[in-house]
Amino acid sequence: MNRTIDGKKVSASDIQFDEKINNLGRITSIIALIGMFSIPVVVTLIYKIDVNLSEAVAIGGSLIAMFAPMAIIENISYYAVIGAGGVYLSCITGNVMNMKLPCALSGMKIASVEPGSKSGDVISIICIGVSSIVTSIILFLGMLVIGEFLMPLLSHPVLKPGFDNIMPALMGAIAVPFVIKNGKVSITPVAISIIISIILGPAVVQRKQSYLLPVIMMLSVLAAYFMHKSKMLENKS
Amino acid sequence: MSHFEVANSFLLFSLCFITIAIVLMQSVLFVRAAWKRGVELGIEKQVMKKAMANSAIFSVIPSLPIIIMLMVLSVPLGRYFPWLRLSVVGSAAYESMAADAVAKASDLAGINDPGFNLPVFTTAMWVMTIGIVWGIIFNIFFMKSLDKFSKKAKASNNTFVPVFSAALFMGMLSIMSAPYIVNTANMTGIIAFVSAAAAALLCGYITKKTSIRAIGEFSLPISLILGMVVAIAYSQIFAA
Repeated sequence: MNRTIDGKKVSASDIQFDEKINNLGRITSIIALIGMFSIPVVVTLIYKIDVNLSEAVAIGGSLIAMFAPMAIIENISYYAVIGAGGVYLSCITGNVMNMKLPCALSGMKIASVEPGSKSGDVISIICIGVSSIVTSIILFLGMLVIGEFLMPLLSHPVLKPGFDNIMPALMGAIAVPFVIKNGKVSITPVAISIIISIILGPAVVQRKQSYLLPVIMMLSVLAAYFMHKSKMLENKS
Repeated sequence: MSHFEVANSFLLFSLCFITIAIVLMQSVLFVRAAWKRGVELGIEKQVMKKAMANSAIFSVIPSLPIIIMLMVLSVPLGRYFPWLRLSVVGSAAYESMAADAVAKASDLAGINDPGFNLPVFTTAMWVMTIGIVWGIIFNIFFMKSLDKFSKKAKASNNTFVPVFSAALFMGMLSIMSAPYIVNTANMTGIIAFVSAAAAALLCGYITKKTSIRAIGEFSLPISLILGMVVAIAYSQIFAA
């Protein structure tokens, strides 16, 4: 497989692509927002519903207070791995953690490119885009007809443990090879994450994951920095 | 008027369909732009195609639980709005929480309370929409600057930059995986994690030793399914 070599210098085409993707990302995000709001707006107007918007916001308040910072932190964190295009596209299409992110990571492995590199960003966009298209088709079919046929299969007591544990299986398949590959850099984040999970308990960690994410990432970077400075990482190619 | 007349109306279907179709088109636009760029960067078309095939195949299984959520949410919210929410932005967890919060705020027991009517339904749609858009709004305003800043840092020849990226990435993977590893209450989960990990490593090893590329390329769906199968087998054998 060809290794794609990323030049270190920023070329004109690099800047052009970045501009293009960010513009595309912004425009598609705005359009998606308009599309999403169109449903409540149209229903409210056509059926002349008396919706108390400030009350709605108040109800949503605690949810927003919880989900908004989470969304922002996640976007910044995902950016480091899937790049700007990946974040724009995966946010619009949703299901980032359980589908789009693993998809992108797997694609990058296949293409032998590093997360965070120029090629990595390209592969991420391609994988996330294809994943969205496939998921949309499946959900469309599920909504129409197949859902009713699939339900007994999906909730079958024998198969249930499989479907209930998609996330752990996914994490195992994705995380372990990358962690092993990154050797010394992985030691600190893995150790800290496991210790925190034991102390706080897995349920708490998952609930507060978005807040723990930047903390762990920072500690990981700090440790890596010291390793880098003390030349502990010299053997890593 | 029952809210189902609206929720299952052709109007709602059209609005949802149009929005989903637009988002679908946006995916296509992004993929095209990325593909062109990939060629520019020298990534082999074969390689990009393989990544696409892997994505397509892989996406099937994780979509299935989403269908379950679709069915569940359809009971109170009709067929089309959940379909929109789960196809565009939105995560299943958030949707049910938001709808439930609105129901409770209207003195209902929950979203399946028979008192769930058109005004409540409409309010629910508003709340669900307002609550989820912040990530997108952040992207619109700040992603470009973040990207510029990061690209500048990467363009510098500082040797720490790739280490920095790797450290961030490992941090993310670690905190996302750790809860499953230590959750002894869900042994099946731990089994699934370990089996899928073993499968992934095995796929990598087999690919290296035999040059059967297909195994390496489909290692994610293969490992996922193997992890699930082992989880099922474990439950059958050990769990009561």
